[in-house]
Amino acid sequence: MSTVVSVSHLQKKFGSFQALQDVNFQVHAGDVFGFLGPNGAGKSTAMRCMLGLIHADHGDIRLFEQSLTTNKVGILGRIGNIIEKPDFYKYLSAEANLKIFARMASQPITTTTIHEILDFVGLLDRRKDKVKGFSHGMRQRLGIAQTLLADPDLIVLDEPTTGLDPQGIIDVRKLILRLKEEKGKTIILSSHQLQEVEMIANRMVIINHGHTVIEGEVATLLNAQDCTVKMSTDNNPKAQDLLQTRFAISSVQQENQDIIQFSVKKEKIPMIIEVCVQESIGIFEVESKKQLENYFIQMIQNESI
Amino acid sequence: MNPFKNVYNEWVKIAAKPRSYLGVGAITVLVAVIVFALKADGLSFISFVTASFEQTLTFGGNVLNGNLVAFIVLQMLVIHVPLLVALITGDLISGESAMGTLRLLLTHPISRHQVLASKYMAGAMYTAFIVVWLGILAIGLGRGLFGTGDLMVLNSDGLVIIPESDITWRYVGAFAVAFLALNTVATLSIALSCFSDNSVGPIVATMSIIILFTIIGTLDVSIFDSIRPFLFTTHMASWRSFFEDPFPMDEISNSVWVLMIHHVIFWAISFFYFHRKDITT
Repeated sequence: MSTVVSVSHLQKKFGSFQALQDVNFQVHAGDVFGFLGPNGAGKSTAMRCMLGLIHADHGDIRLFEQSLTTNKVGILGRIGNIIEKPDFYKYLSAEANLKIFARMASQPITTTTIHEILDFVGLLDRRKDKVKGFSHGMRQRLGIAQTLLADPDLIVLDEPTTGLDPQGIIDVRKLILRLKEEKGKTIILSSHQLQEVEMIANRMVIINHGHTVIEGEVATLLNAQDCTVKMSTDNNPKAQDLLQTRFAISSVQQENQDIIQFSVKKEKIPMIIEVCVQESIGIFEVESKKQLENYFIQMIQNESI
Repeated sequence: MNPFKNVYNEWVKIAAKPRSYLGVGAITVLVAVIVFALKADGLSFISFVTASFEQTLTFGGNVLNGNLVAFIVLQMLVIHVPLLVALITGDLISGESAMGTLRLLLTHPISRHQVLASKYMAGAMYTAFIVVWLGILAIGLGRGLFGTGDLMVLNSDGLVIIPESDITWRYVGAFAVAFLALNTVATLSIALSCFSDNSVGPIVATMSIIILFTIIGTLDVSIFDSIRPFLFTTHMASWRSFFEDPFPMDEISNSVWVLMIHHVIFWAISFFYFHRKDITT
């Protein structure tokens, strides 16, 4: 599998503020790559460095196995992006905006192609309308249309669902999934919506305080993590005591009157149920989940210690 | 990549902005007001000039003709046109930065130098358009309403009468130098635009620099004598030299050089800075 993006030891300082200390990650062809980190972690700075908007102080950025420093224009011709929010020329129509960017592409882009892309994002009927009258969701879709213009090999989406209503989030998520499934694009997706990344991404990196905390396959990383178990019994205090004494689980919490919650390795769950039954504790319900959100919080907390 | 496509893109953006028509509209209204005011009471206006010569000279023919009207219009407006030019050119980079479109522009397969060069080209074309429009209105309206005739110009050396047959090339030269002077303002404002992330700052800064340099240029203080010849504002009115007799070729060449050197300095600063600028907006 070829490496589309390779970032190593990226550093950037703004004045006295060290925005990036040591960012490393790799994106492979066909990946939907989750780019995660709390606010101020350095995600946007790293993405901007990757696109040549910000000049890194140190480190190496290679895209399509070429150095960004030496072949920036050629590389940018193969990337579509939305950084932060999709801003367009408000006084121009959707179509006129896309034509401006089409004229900047490495290869000729016809009006027919522009119409097809506008149709793909559901804006063909509004192509003559000025962007200033567009909702945030429509601009976001126009942003995705703009990324697709030159049929790029890599699409970089920075917070593509920020500020969208629930329907808008679903629409954009569907669009990203279509890009992955129908067009087979390599996508880098930065988002605060961890559930979204969990649903779409196959690989991810977590960045905090300007450096890489962890990078890898989403499934592998989540499998190595404890499950969050919610259990409902007829004697929760006894069950809680049992979990703490017999299984040395310190994370047991009473979520409400009926449910206790704890974290444990997946393999231990059958044994816990068996012991509870032996101790005459009636179990009504057991629900176990591996959530990216928990993993993310755990990683960030470990970082802070 | 066809560089003309980038310049065309810039033209599309300029043409779509309502503020681009502000300058054209303002020039149209101002020229119309001046021309019609001269039509209504032009003779009394020029009598201030002719009165002091009436004891020694006799004025015959059509003194208040289209050529004189065009000259008066130019003299009145060329001072104010820099603001109208800076209003557009000062916004070319910083406006995109404020709007957030600059990051989109710079993540397309086009170098920063190409982006800046196309902005400069578009800015120069807009400036040329303003100058040509001013010329068409001033000469066209003037000649249409007042007819033609010899041009009478009062300058610091006295009264100069330029025969009608000798006027057209002087106007062409005057407009060319006026364009160069105004394009220096455009170049300055684009250079300042590279340093800013809001569109108002470079426009205000450009006008402030023009005002400051004009004050330095007109203050009769010896401390400024050495720098005065090198300020671009000193050469903003060099177009007037085309209406002197004898024709001051050296003076005009000097002005052209000073203005061109300013162009080069502003280009160099902006290309150097813009290439290294971190786009954080």
